[in-house]
Amino acid sequence: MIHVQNLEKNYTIGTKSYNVLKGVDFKAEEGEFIAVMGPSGSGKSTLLNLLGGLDQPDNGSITINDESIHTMSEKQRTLFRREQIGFIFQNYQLLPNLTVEENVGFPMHAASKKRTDIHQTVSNLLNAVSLTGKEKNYPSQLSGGQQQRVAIARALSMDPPLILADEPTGNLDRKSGTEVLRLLTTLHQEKKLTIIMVTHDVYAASYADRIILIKDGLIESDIRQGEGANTDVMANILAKLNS
Amino acid sequence: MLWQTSWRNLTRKKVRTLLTLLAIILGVSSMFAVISTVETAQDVTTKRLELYTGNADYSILSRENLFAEDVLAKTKDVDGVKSSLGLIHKQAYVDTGQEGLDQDQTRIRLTGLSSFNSELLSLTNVDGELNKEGVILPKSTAAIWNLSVGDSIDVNLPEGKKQTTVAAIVGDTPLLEGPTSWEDAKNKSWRALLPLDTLQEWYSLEDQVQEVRMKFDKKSTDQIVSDLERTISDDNVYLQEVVLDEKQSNQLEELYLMLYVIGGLAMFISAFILYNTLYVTIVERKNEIAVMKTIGYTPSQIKKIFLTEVLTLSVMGILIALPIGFGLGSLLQTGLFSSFQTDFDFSMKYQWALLLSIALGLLIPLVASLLPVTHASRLDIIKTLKNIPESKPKTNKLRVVLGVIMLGFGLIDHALSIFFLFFGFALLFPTLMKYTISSIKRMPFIGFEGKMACNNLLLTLNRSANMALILAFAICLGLFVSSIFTSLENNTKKDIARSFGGDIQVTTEQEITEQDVKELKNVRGVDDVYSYQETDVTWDTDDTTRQIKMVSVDPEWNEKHPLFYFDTEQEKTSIAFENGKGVLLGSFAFDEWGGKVGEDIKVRVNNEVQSLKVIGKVNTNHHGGYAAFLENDRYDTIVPGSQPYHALLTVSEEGAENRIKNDLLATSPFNILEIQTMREEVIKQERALPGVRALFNGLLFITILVSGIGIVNTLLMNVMERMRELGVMRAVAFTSSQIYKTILTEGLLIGINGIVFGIIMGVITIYLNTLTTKDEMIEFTMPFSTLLVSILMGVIVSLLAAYLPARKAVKYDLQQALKHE
Ligand SMILES: Nc1ncnc2c1ncn2[C@@H]1O[C@H](COP(=O)(O)OP(=O)(O)OP(=O)(O)O)[C@@H](O)[C@H]1O
Ligand SMILES: [Mg+2]
Repeated sequence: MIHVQNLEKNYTIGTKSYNVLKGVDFKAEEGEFIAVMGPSGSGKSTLLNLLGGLDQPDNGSITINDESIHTMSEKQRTLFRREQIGFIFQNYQLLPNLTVEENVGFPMHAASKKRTDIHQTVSNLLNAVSLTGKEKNYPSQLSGGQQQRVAIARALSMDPPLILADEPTGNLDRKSGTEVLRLLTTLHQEKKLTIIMVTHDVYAASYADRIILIKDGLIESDIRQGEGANTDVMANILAKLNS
Repeated sequence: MLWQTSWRNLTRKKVRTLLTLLAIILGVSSMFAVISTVETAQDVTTKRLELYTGNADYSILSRENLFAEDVLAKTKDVDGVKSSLGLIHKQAYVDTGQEGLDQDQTRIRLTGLSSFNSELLSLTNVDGELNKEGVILPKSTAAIWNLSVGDSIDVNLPEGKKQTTVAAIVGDTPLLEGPTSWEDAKNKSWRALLPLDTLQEWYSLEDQVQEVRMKFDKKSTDQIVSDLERTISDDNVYLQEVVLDEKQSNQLEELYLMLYVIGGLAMFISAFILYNTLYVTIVERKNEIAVMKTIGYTPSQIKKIFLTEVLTLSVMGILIALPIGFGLGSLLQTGLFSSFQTDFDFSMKYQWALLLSIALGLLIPLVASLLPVTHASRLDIIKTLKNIPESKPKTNKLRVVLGVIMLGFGLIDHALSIFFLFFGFALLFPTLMKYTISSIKRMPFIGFEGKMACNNLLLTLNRSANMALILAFAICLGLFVSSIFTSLENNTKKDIARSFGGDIQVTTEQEITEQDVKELKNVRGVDDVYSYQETDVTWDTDDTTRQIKMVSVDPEWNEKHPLFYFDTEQEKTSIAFENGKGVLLGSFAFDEWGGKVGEDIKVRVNNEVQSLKVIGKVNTNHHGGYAAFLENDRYDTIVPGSQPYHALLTVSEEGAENRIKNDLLATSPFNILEIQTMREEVIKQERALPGVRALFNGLLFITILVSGIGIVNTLLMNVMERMRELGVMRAVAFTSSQIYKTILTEGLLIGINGIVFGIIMGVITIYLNTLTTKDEMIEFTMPFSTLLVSILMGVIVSLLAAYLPARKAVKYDLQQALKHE
């Protein structure tokens, strides 16, 4: 489903240039739940943003469902993102002046979907994320965990096959974080969604069935769970993270 | 340290700093331009008067037109008279060889002067020699006639043709102000100077003068005057103080007011932009401020930081604005003076402009920043750090109630009611806009982006409403001014007719006797003739001396062919003069005088103080309303022995005016100083209107453009505040064109609100003005071309204004936007 080849990204600050991604290659099959881990500043968010077309690579290619997004125009990328990708951010990124239901329905409205369809979808989704009854609330009237579930509902509203999540539990306590992770797992299992989730948290990563470790702009290791004992995998990763 | 910090803050946000600077520059430069234009215009009118009267202190005149030249010699013996100058004005016709001219186009007013080196005269840029035999022409006349120094020129005199030469050509000066073209010569005489002896010889007026002008040592005027009276001891000769009253030739008060309104509007917009910008700056730096407070900054320290920033900007803005204001001012002045249809040089005056625009440039930004800065210094740390979002602005009940009350006052039939109406409108505007936008939001055609735009506007309602209100005011002003011009254009003829006094006005060189009147009546086509007197009277206010024209009136004639008219139909000249033996003041004179009907005005006539009861205020075009009218008999007792030099003629058949004018000029070419038909006056005024109108249209055009800058600012602020949200929209769904659509709709909605309410306000203003004005010429006219232009300009300007912020939102780096505070 996703094919990333030799992906490079540089940032220039002043006259200095930083290679953040130095040639990343990987493939992801449909229905995989992948956690991306790595030290702070290693380029995880950068990778995710490139995958979602929020940013342009300096080199390399990204194909998602046989469409190469690195060659698309900005408009094509936006439309592709709207249809194919659900984005979940660490700080939720809800629109503060829209209600919960308006936030969830926002991508559908933007895509000029029928009102009745939007209404139906939104109420189903809110039910799925256990927020029925909070339709008219504004984001500021919700807890962090609830806000993140609204964000998840929004990410799902256009029924995309791929979810990209950048530290979705980063701002949440263990209990709310667990709820969000359970939700993602359920979606992954029931709808066969492909999920790529950036995380710092080994506990969060344990929900994924594959863990990619990034260090200094390169993939350091790529481990599938079930290839060994879970505890071994975790120990292995912890060791790598701390080294 | 403080300066460094503020400098760093300013350079960190370049666009915003630039915009704030632009606002200051805009306000300061337009204020400078407007004030300096008024200053220059006032200076020009005074200077021209001075040049015209030669800066003299006193004149000697005779009740019999001419007097003995040895009076001039006698003045030189009186202690305290610094210099004196004798002169005679005479009528002649010039033959420059130009073909196909009417007689009245060749009329020339010759002024014979006893000396050319007098300090009472200031002739500049002389080419040739002043004291040589021949005539002295102003530069522009010489250019039209195509003559240079030494060329010969023919003059037609009562005693036949005389050939003379051009002795010198001098710079244009009011004393020698001639027509600006051959066409213009139909309304105005050419002018030339020549030695007094030559003129006396040409007209056989040996040893006589018409006027002696004097300059005194400024010590004891009273003493000098009585010395002069004693030395001259001639009953027919009298002394008259030369009064420089710029009001006599300067009816520009309304223009000044208009200019101030436009300048004030620009300043207001500028202050508003500043307020917006600072407000957003502070909202953005909330966290920073909160952190500063937690580490121990006091509110006054925080205030100081922001005020230093504002001050830095102000100083920079003023420095840039002054040269721009200078350019703008000279542009405005050139436009203004060229619409006066006379050529003259002017030098820009800007003493007050400089002072005031610097003062306002410092003060207004400080005042505009006070509210946001105080807000910043009082910021609640906990709320800020918890990031509780702003709540939707609620309609301020008090504001609405106050607005409705003001509107109520506005409906009272009174001249000031319009201000209440405006004020009420301004108070209600956000509420009105809230309702229009809420209802537009529900319209199906505006789509999702339109709905988002409405939401955004509702969230920043006050800011957007203020901007729309400014646009509305500009449009309202434009419609109002334009409707007045349309009324004037439609009614020029009617307007002139109601105070022209007849069909033809004649001013003569010699007094008009009973016999002359009879002869005039016998001229073919002339129906009736009325001769009247006019004299300058001076009047002392607390600080200055003023001079107005006093005119004698025959009530019977005036009721048929009015020289003035009353505010209401019921008032009549005869009744007015019967009820109280007093003086009627022209409206401009009345306002300048400042008293009430029934009070006395003290005037000086021939150096004697007279107390006259003011019995009413009248409207007239004579001397721009700077005149006083007295009933005939009363006039004779107040100005004894004076003779008429003015006549009003009516014609028996329409269209005969021109023929009569030419006949009269042919029969007494040298006695008629001025002759003007009503038709000529109508044509002249009709020709002048479009120029002034274009000038105002230009100014209003600029005002709308300036509102455009305000809209750019408002939307840019909206966009900057919402950058993160816009980023989220782009990240999850919105294409660039959808972002454009949203923000352009915001701009358009501000524009449409401004246009619609501007037109409503304009219509109400025009209507109320026709109701409350006493001037029946002002009628309800809808200036459709201005209406159309306002709509088009408003839409285009608001769309253009929205484009820049929209572009910024789209081009802003998406990841940066998502991290935006
Ligand atoms: N817009 C940018 N301009 C310049 N440098 C950037 C930009 N965005 C990211 N970087 C740099 O790129 C590197 C990778 O950033 P990235 O956000 O991908 O890290 P990360 O792995 O997500 O870190 P974290 O775990 O802290 O979120 C960092 O060194 C960061 O400073
Ligand atoms: Mg990151």
